Amino acid sequence: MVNRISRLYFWIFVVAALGILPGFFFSGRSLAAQPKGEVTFAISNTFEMTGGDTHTIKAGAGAIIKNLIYDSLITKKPDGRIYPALAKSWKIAEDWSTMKFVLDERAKFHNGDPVTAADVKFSFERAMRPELKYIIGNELKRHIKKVEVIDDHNLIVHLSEPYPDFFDKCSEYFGIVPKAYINKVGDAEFAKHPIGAGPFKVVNFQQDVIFSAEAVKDHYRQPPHIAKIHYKVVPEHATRLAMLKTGEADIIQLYEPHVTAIAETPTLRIQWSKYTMLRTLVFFDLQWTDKPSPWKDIRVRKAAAYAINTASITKNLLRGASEPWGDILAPYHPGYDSGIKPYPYDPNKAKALLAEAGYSKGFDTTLNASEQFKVETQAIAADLAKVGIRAKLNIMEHGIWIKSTVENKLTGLNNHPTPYWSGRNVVSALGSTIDPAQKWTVYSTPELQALYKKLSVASGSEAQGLLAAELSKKYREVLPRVNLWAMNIPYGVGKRIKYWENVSGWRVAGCFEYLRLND
Amino acid sequence: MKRYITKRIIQAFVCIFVITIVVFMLTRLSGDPALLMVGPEASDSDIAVIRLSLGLDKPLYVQYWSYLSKMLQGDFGRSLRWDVPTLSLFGERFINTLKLGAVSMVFALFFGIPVGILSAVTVGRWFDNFGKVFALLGQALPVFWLGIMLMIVLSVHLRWLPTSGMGSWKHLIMPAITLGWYFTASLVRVSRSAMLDVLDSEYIKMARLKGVPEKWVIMKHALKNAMIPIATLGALNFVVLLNGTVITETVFNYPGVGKLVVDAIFKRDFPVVQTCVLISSCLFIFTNLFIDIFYSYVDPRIKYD
Repeated sequence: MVNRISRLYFWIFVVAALGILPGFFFSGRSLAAQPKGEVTFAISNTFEMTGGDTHTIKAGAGAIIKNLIYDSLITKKPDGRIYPALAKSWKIAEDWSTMKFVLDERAKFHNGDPVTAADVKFSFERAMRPELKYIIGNELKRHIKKVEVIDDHNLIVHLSEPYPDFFDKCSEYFGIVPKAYINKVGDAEFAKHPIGAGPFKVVNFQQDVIFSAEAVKDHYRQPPHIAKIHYKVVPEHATRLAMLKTGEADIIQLYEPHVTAIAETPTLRIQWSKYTMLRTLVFFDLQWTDKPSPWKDIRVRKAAAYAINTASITKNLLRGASEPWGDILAPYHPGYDSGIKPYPYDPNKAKALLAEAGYSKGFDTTLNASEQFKVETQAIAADLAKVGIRAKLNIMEHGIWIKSTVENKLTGLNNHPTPYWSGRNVVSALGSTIDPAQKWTVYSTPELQALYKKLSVASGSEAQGLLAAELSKKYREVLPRVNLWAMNIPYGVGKRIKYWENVSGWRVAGCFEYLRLND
Repeated sequence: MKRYITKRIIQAFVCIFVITIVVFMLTRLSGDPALLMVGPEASDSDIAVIRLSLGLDKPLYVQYWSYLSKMLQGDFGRSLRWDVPTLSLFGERFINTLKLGAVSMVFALFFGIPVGILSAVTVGRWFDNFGKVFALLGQALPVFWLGIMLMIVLSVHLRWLPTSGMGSWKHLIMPAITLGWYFTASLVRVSRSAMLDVLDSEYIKMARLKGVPEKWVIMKHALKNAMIPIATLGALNFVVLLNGTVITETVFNYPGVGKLVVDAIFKRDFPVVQTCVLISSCLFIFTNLFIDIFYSYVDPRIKYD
């Protein structure tokens, strides 16, 4: 009897063990959660890089490819915060002399080679080569003195000056590449057959037409939920919308006026990438100390602020894709104050201020803008005209406008795309508005610059928050620009997509490893 | 005749040389590509580094000489954005444009010539009116509007055809109609007027008096003579068509030369613009020359000094 019971228990144990044991051999995901399905994403911008080589990104949407194929030392998630990636931990010296990184031992490139400190050092040095014309190459060279390898998984980056922008630029642009592979095949071959350590690996691509990638099922950080993703470059807005409506594309970069078309289609929805940049009205004349201009009187600048009906423009012309904004900071910046409201629309107050400043009969000026922002600029000109500011429109082809703006050839007003928030930290976001070394700044005062300098070396969110708030207050007192609206980028999302969210503030799409399809 | 051909060939090369100068200068007047390659936080030194690596810091005449001397050795330069040879880039896209152009031309020829001929034969009747309206619409409707309308009706609503891109013969249908309709319209008009001219000539009247069936009069006697101007227009149209695919390729996201060159212009990718414009110009110039020479062989009455 006892023998029979013992034998019974023995066989129950064996059967149970056979049922449980296989579970130990499946790390991470169960069979039921293998990546499945394909997603097509249509964007308007070209990738502006050589093949799939991350260190040749110039502008455009190359960062999308970087975030698909390559991992960086850190990553960002939809909440906009920084998380470990190839570096599982890091330490920044208080004086910004060094950054120490400890790498994740699990990380591998797509060819199976482990990611080591030597690869990271190689990546930094490669990115700084001028012939690659890498968008952050010169910036890395300016800030980084040398990269020291301690062992396979430890390295120290020695800085020549504080680099608070590093983590933002890292997450957006800076991919780690395999040293051994590139040394073996060379740059040209690497561009044609790129290898990274990202959640997707390249399947095939045609330069600036389509880029296809498949999931890395055993990715150390985040195995994707979808099996394949295809990026298509489709410059024509109407074509992208047609693709979404027919199901040829699952997610598209949406043209703002098409927001209503999506809202009217029950099977489609909009996903916003919020607070990507702040559009401002820049007073070009402030920088010309020897030329008189009505804009040098702060009352006149305030009059312009009161004259523009930002609520109506954002609602009726921009279809809710932007929102009137008061602060120069985005909600994700320390020191942001939601209580700071934009100037209310008050043309009578504008006229009163102009009269007080001696311009009761108004005056003539020029309003410059890129053709990309023609419609809203025309609305701004019309609003200014109502209070007597007769703004002659100077709408330029985009490349000409950039050149004219950067080379300071304009006078009067400029419809400007900075502060360039882009989900970046407050120092990086405000640099193109306050730092005179940056070409888009146009005009800034010594007090603003002094505050910005303190901000750029402040450590800790609290200290940064206090300084940012002070800078914001000073900025509103000086009024070198009028804040118009915070721009949100709309994406049209099809019915197959269950979940996708971009990194808060990013101007390029990312986070596709978290994308889920409906069952 | 030999002297004429030699003179025309020399003129063609002079023309091409002038084109290289004009295109070179115009692209450089349009803006600075370095500014489009940097972010808004770029400093003067960032921009200067890019300009140096692109060779844009050198004087214009030095840049032009470098471009011309390399081009004569077959090196048309590398794309500033993608760092690939512009010639291979052009080649890849030209094959696509050639496919689209060929299908559009087939559409134009198969609709344009028969409609024009039938219009001439049935002059004053309902088919003639249809032909005239068809031609008018083809020349009046904006290409971008037509393309988008076709996409909305045939793709979005009816789901008969894919919206855009390339991959199968179905991808070529809407772009071919969009691109081809304009040329179909011109072929209808030329075919109609050429046919009307020929049908009015004495030898045709003689053929009819001799009792030749009307079908033979048109197909055997009239058509041959009417084909000369139609063939000339068709050949020229094909080259114009290849150069005029910009809007169609953009609307239908078709990766051809038109889309490549427009994008290169906006991004100030000078070498790509120069290569595309130069090769397209050469195609036009030499096709024109070939047609003139061919004409003189086809019609012995035509002589050149």
